[in-house]
Amino acid sequence: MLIYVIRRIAQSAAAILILLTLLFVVLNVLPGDAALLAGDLRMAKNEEVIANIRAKWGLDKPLHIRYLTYMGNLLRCDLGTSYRTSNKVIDLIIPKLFSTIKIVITAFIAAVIVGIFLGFMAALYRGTLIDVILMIIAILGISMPRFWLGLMLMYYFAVIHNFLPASGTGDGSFLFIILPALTLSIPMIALIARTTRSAVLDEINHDHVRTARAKGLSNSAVNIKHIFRNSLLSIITIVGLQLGTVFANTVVVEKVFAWPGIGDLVVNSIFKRDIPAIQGCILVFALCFILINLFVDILYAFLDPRISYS
Amino acid sequence: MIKKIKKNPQLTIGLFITVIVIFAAVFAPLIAPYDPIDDANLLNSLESPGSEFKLGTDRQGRDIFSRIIFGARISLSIGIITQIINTFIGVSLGLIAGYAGGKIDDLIMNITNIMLSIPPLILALAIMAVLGPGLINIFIALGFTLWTYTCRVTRAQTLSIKKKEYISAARAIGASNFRIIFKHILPNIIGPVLVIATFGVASAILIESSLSFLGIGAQPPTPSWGTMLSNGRDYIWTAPWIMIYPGIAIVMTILGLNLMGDGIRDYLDPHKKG
Repeated sequence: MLIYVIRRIAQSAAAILILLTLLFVVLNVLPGDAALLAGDLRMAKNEEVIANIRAKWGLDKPLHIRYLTYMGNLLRCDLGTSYRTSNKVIDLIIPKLFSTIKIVITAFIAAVIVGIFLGFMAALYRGTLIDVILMIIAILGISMPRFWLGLMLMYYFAVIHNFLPASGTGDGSFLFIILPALTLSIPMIALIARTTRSAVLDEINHDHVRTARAKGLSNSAVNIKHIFRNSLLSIITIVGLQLGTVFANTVVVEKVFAWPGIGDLVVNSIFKRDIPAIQGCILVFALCFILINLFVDILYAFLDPRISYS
Repeated sequence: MIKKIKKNPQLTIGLFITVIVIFAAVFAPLIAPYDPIDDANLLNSLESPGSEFKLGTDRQGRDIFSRIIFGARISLSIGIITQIINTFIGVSLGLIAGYAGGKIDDLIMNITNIMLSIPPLILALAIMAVLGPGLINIFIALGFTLWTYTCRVTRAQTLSIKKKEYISAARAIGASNFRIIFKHILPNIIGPVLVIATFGVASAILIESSLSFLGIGAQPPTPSWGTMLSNGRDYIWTAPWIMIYPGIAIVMTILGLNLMGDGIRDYLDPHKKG
């Protein structure tokens, strides 16, 4: 078990290292002269100005030196300096990340509670109208692009009925979080409900469930202790995967609701060609995804002692 | 075979929707009443849906219905072309990894696992950040990022087929590696690969519309569904039809492809029907 955990951590570290290297090479080698892009000086062909900019950002040094400097700075949690605002990238990212985490956590908690509840209900009442309606909602939820879902929710709740704010953060009250969080959570609810339903259906016909009923246990005891607990494994897997991708999905949702998070930051940085900021944001997205997956895998190993991970 | 398809409502509905979308894309100039780009007339700006413009017009006075019909061309060509490239890369790497084994297998699978550790939308964003906005760049960004799943499945299938007796038999009568791969392994993995490719077309279309919505994909005046929605956001208070109808087009297309994917899977493997 310990060996499995250590190997899994090493794998994640390797993935992060290779990702960093690829990102550095791709962003620094391909787009031509970063100094020109940084200064946006294609118009002013002043060699001296360009040379100054290169020297300022260290772009006059050879690539391998720049790579080592970048990696060395990363170890000190320094993601570089923005070409545009001259602020430290880490100072740009942290408040935005905090803002994103607010909607992600709200969406995630809502999705887990509602998704598991609906899936469980659909399985217990399988074949009935409740089941059919829930499963139609589930397949629609998976097929709908998040940004359109967000626009429709905005249209319904803010434009037609006018009881929720349409976009922005306003005075920071919880009302502004509801619509972006709802947009993020509906597709998750759909997926979690589908997985829960099939996991519970797998469990419901097992012998141990029949035995539990035969020895006279109450319905709720059988449902919770024998069915729900055993179907939890596959539910946790899908829930973990969802939490990993939900950070990536904030990119479009934040654009819809003008939410000042990290997704908003990365899109703006792409427009401004602010390479250190792009690098920093993509690193944060990938880190969230990789670390969450690592955590879920380790949790899985602890929860399922039947499988050997040597 | 028709009986089998009839018993499979998912496949029937999915196929029906997909055929409609393909039909719209192929015969777009015949179906659309107006030109999607050139028929702009500011006198018709922001007309609500009615007899002249079935689904209304946008800010520039262009017919939304015509733009949606032409948008099907962009979405489908992105979905299908990038998926052909991805399937080719995925199947080739998967076959090599599974058949060769050893260090080559380790190398290919490590690359695949690292690619899988980054969400596809973020990977595409990173590539678009380098290449800059534009439709052609989307083909590149999506053509080389969505092959990982195909590669994993192809490798797993190849590994299990490689151990079958008929492969040993083929080798015993002196068949070359090339012949074994193309005559004996490849035909047996086409089914699962086709299912993944169908879902892959759907996810490529979704990612393209997301990138275009963010403004780093197809650029105006190209009638991409994502770009249309991005414009529609600004008119949500005054002209909601601009963002409602292109969205319905995306949902129907994705739904059709997903149902078809589910349907093909059940058709090929009736035991797994859940």
